[in-house]
Amino acid sequence: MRNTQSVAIEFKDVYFKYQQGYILEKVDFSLRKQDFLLILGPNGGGKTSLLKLIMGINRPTQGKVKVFGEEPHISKPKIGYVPQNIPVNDRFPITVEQVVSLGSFLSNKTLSRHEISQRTKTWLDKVGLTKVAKSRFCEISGGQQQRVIIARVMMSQPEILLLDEPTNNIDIELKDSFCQLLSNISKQVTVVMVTHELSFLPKSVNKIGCVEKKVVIHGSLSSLEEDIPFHGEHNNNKSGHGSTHAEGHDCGHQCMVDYLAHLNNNTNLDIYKSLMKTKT
Amino acid sequence: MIDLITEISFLKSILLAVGLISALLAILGTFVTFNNLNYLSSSLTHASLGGIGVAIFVGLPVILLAPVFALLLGGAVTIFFYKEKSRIGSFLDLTYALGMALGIFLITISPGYQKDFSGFLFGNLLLVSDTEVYVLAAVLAMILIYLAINYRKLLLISFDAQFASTCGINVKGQSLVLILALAFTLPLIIKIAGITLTIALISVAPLLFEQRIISVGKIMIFSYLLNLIIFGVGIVISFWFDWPTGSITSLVAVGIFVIGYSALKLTKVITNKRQSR
Repeated sequence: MRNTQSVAIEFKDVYFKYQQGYILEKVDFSLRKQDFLLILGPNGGGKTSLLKLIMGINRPTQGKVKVFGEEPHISKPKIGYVPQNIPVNDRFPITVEQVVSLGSFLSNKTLSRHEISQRTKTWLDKVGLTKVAKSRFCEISGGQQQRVIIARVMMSQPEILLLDEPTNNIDIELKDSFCQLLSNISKQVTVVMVTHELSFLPKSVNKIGCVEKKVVIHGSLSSLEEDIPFHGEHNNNKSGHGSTHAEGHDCGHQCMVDYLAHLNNNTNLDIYKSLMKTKT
Repeated sequence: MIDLITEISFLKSILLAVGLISALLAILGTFVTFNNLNYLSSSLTHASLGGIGVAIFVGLPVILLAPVFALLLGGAVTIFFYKEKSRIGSFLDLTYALGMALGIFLITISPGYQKDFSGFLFGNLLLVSDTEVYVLAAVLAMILIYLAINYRKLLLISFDAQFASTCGINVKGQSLVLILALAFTLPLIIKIAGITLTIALISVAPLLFEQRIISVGKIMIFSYLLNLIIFGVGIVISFWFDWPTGSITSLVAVGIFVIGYSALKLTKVITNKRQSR
């Protein structure tokens, strides 16, 4: 059962602009502890700007962003961030284990050597990389590197985990274990994941946000279906998803996966525009 | 008897200088190589000649003035590194040109000074003074203390500066300290070991050991040992054949690198072939 009592992230009438104009307009939503929000949207739609607002790197032009009721920069130690590209020095002679242990610097309290070692072991085990702990970081696969980076962030025990396109380097065969890992993590923390790869959908995703200047949060499949029903042109696809969805709304996670997979096959601006449709 | 004592004391200074220079170049070289700062260190090494020239011209001890000049250059390089990163190569070229030109010009017009520039290129171990040994020892002690306190931070900055910054580590400050340590130490070393050998020893050992060792600390220790071997072989050959020590030791360093690197690559190819069978 999810703890739905306390608000982790709150956007109140937020506007944000760069020099060229508004990137985000009238953003209003909140996430509770242990929510898992999947953010979709076209390139330049404001997905990364949204993450930077949560981290306090960007400041809203108008409105308020609160993280655990405080300004984001105050809550920074509670936030873990996994960037889209891992800008590391690839030939640096460092082991997987060392990379994870260096995540202790994120912690707002000084950890003892023993604590660092224990946490490193625990997280290497949780991300399934104990066997390659002594390997050179640059010699493991892109998917494994992504797991190492997640483990490094989790070393500081953040309460919010932000992931920007984390699936870019992950082989399709490893998607299930990666989704399982994120689902496990989301039992303890609020997760916000930006992605364009809809086939990666962890089981614990309970909110889907569509970002293109505005942000529309869909709390369930039925809410998504209301915006893009599988009737009309989207209904005539080979996979036959249309009939499944037309029959019932709350058909569970697999249903949502199939639905989004269908969207993924048809991803174009029209789909996003449909997703962005504000309810009247 | 007095001759023997003088000879032992002279040898002791040379051996101490070799040990200290080997350690300093092993530590700084490891960070320089793994942070891709070789071009920067090479430019600073050459530009250090400017400080040596200023010291000779004004008649102050080289060991006092040259590091101050190099520190100013190092500071300017660091500022430019962060302000105009994409143009840092051109700026380093200018630094190199300024230092070398100023150094050679001032040494040339300094009255009564021998205009032999090969000493700066290849150094002169035999002329090392006790004061220089003490200064090198003090610098090494400071660097070791700094390293002991900040080792993990430096590791993180070298590996992922962006994440280090996210963790609240002062990346620019730590990088400034590294560049200033380099700027301060290089003129002290080139006065003894010469520009050529200094540049060679900064890269040779870390480049060789990174092929096999996955630990910055261990690479530093092995680099120190290899630097000692390079110096030892160079000094023995130069004494045996009565050849110039600096240039022979530089050639030994490059020779060891070529042989070692080729052997490591060959071993890797053979191992891969065996595994694929």
